Amino acid sequence: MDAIAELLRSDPEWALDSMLTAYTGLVYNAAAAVLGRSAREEIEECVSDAFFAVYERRDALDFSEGSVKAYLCATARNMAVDRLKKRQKAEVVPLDERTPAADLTDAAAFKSIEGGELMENVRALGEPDSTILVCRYYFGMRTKEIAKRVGMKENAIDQRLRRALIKLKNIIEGGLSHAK
Amino acid sequence: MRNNLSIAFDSLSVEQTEALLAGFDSMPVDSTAARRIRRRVEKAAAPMRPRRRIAIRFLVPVAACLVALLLACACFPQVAQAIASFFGIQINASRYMETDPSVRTPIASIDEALDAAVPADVSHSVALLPELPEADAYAAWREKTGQPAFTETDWGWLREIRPEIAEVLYDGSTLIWNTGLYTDPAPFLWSFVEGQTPAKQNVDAFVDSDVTYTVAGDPTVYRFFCDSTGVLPPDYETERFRNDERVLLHGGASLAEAPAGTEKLLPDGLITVTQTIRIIDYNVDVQANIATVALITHSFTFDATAGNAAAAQAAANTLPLSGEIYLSMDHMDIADDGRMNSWTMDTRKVSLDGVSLKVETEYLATGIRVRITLADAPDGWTEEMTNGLLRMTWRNIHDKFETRGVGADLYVNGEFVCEAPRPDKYGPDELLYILPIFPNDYASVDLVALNLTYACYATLNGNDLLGGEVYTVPEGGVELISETQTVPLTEITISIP
Repeated sequence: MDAIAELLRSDPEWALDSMLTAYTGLVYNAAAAVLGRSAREEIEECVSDAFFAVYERRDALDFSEGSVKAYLCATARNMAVDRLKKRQKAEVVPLDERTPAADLTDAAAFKSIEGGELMENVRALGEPDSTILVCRYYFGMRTKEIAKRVGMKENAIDQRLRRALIKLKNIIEGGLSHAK
Repeated sequence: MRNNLSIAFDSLSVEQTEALLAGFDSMPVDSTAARRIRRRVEKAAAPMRPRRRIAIRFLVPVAACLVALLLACACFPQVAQAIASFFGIQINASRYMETDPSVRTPIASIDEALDAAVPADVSHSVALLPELPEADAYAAWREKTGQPAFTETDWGWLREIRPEIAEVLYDGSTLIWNTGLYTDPAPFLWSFVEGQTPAKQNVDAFVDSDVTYTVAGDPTVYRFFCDSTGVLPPDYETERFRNDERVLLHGGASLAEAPAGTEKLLPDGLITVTQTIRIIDYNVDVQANIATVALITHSFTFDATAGNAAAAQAAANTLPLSGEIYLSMDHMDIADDGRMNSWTMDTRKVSLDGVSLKVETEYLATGIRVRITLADAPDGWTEEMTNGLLRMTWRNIHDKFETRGVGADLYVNGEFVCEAPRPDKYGPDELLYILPIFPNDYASVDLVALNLTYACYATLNGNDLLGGEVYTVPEGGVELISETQTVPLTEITISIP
């Protein structure tokens, strides 16, 4: 059990303060990747609701299954997805240019390989590929932002992403490549 | 524009999220957004906090546990650490003032300081939105956010709010005060207890940062900056409200620190403080001034004499350093117009021979204040070196230093107690700590020591700083991902009066 999870049992008020200090950025980006960064109010509502939900349900949550960080991000992500589904309209709106998640081919292909094995295989890609992949597809970060985080050039990030995706699909589907 | 298309990782379990985010501990976020989120969460969580009656119900068993734990301390130092770190959270002047007096663990010296301040209200006035200089902008913003226009009929009750100074804590170094807000009727409180008033109004209050004061016999109006934590938890006075005493609580704890190098924050004698309490419509914005619906100007007095007298006991000594350490430094090239031409960071081996520190100790009602600055340095020592050496850092929740600087561990009677607590504010090129050791503790304390550790950047955003690489900070800033390496710096013995 991580330190904040223990604190949630012994001193919830202090734990809430620690959670907000430590994880607001992480949870914000997890929700923003789903909703689009311009949806500021919706993101903030999702993030606030996620923090409150974990705080409120602290006695019911099993922190041996995941850390406070994981519960917060998973909760915020689910809330954001629910909002996104409700938001669906007849008219298709193009992706926000500040929401770089993926081009359609990548996103569709990536979606097709989500499943229980995916997490293991993402980590199995090794560094920095797994970090780049999570930054791009989980946090929706732009190539420029990822390049800053991992200390590489932008074109190297794009190249590694493409290769990682092919590698991932090959691992899971036995050699089938979706690459253009 | 929003993302209405498909996304990856849209259905992960907690276990999958845990696996995916291993190694991801932080991401950047706009500080304003972070503050809004914090306020929203804290407001939602506030009604869930245990009420006073519940707290009292548990006081006896808690006291019994405390005895058992203190007995255990004598035999098991690690238990002492756990207790110290737990109570260390509580022993802080700000937190003390934010706690309902009826449930505080009393600290005699702080309570004496509170009594000695003898606060008294002087005057107050309330101005509603139409009377404010920015009325047009505020009204336009209300309209833009879809809120009904401000009317005296809906909001006239704000005029009845009565501020009363509740407590003032002045220890010669720090000033904190709590203000109660009362009204009759009390829709204001409903907005905290139930989330909204029956009329769907939802308000919040905080103290503006620009506070003034005057000194008896001096016509000058002085200004200082204060931080307001805003309203305190609603359980503070809820029972009184429910008993129809029509008391609206509330305290805003405010704080100011004496600028580095000044002896006292305030002169002796009667001080008149004037604060502006801002009431905002939470439905318009959760914290911005643009949501203002009323301003309350409130003046109160208190006596600073006792606080200054208590702070008069002080000591200073010089501590020489020696040996070599790896020092992480900034190198900034700033143009005449203030623009940053370049900013790099590196880690270099530096000799500390000839460097000495000045250690100033003040024995305050709120704890022992220790300030460490540079006393002397050899030829060739630069401001960048001072800035690299004299900056505070602390361990994260995973017990690691994320940033370079000096970490300080507090030892009492040879036992580790906790990381030395920092004050709410401190300046550059200084190490400042408030040790949770109070005048009433002095008789039982033989030896107090601060063990200083220096943490340098080994790597920074993928750059091997220990290996001699230089990291260039990009324009606009960037999140720093680092690995640090630590080395013991020195031990400081704090004398006890």
